[in-house]
Amino acid sequence: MTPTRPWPVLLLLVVAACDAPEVRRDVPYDPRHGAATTLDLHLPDSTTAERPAIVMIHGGGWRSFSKDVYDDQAQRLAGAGYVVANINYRLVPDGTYPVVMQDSLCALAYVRNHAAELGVDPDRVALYGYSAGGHLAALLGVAADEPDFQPDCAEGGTGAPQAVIAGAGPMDLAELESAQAVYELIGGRLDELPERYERASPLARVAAGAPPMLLQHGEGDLFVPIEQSYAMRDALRAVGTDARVLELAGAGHVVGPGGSPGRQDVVVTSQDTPEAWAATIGFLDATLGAP
Amino acid sequence: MRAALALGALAVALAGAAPAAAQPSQVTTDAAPAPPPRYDVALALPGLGAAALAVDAERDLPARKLSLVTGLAVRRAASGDYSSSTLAIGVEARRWLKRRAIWTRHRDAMVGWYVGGRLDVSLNRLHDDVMDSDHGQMVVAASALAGYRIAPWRGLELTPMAGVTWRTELDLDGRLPAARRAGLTFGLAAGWMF
Repeated sequence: MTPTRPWPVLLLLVVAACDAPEVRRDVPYDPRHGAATTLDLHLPDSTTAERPAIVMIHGGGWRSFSKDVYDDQAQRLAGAGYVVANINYRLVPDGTYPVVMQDSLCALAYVRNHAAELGVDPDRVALYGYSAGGHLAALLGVAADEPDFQPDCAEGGTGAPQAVIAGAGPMDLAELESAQAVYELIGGRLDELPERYERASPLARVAAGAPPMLLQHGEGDLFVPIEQSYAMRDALRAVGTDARVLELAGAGHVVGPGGSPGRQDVVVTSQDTPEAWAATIGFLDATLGAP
Repeated sequence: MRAALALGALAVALAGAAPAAAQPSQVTTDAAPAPPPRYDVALALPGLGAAALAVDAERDLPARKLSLVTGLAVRRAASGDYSSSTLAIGVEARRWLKRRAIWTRHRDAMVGWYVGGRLDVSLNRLHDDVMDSDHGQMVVAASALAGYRIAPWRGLELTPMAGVTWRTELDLDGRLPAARRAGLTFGLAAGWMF
């Protein structure tokens, strides 16, 4: 058991409050597509030369929202010493398969290509996403070399990340074929495009050498069943990869245990609970090393 | 553990009730209405689905149309390759408006519409079963709530509530900066007034 020492912690909090990370907004990683392919850089203020980095991929069914939904979490991770790139990507209908995968991979390549400028260790980069973003993070963790996913952006392609944190991510799209968002992402039904469903399903792409993965999921998630995260964990472990599931009772897809344990709060994802934050920082320290 | 907490909350409520019980008994007639309940012990129903047991003990201050609530909760939300334990305490002040409600025979009691302010403090510890390591978090939540209580049968009461909550999360291991956020919150409690 790690003993709790509140006074040093409070001192650190005060110091941290005076040392807020710098934010560079709307940096284009692929200038051809305007705001759709920009990212926000959250840079910890420090002299450390090579820090681990986190590329954050927002959710929204591949067709909604933007990097703004991850802004607070990005700033908190940067406050912990990670260089954070919080990305936009082209949304459906512009971003149907394989465009969203290509954009996400291009953003990952951007971070590695600019590692020296950003103070990043290019060999310590994690992908972090929720829902659709969790799907993309896990998919690029296991299939970054998929020919369909190679971007034609100036940054080019890149290899798999060194770690993945996926919250409530669809891992087997064939199981979710009735979901309109999946249909629109793939561009057709399962019986029409079975090979696309397979290529875009992280569970079907697991192979030896996959990066360690933390899968966070609410047990009451009605959009993406938690069994998908457990199946992914088991498949990863079968090939020798460190994979773990954080299951949260009382959490759905966008509803979670409240600030008071007797209530429920909206919008709280299973990735944005105290338990999930504790798991995230422990996992990042174990896989990327402390900043 | 859960039974002990429930009994503890009940003991708090009963301790507050003791002075009233010690007062001289009133002379009553058949026509005299029963005195309204001044105490309540309630269980948060959403907590049961979140592996949490959250109990509130409440005391009425009828002269001021106020009630004071103290709450105690435990939660074990994490599973899979993790386990967690959360201990939370809360205090709340409620202002009761008309002090009567539909389907409720009690008058001038803690029923009907109310507005309240609540402060909850919870300590959470997550255990990573894979790494055999622990991580701690503390959450301070301030909430502005509105609710409506009915008591459809004897002392049984149901209280749905909703409001806005402001949370501050502190990492007790010092790895993460504090996080502050606001959100909507809702709840449903079932209890017994006496």
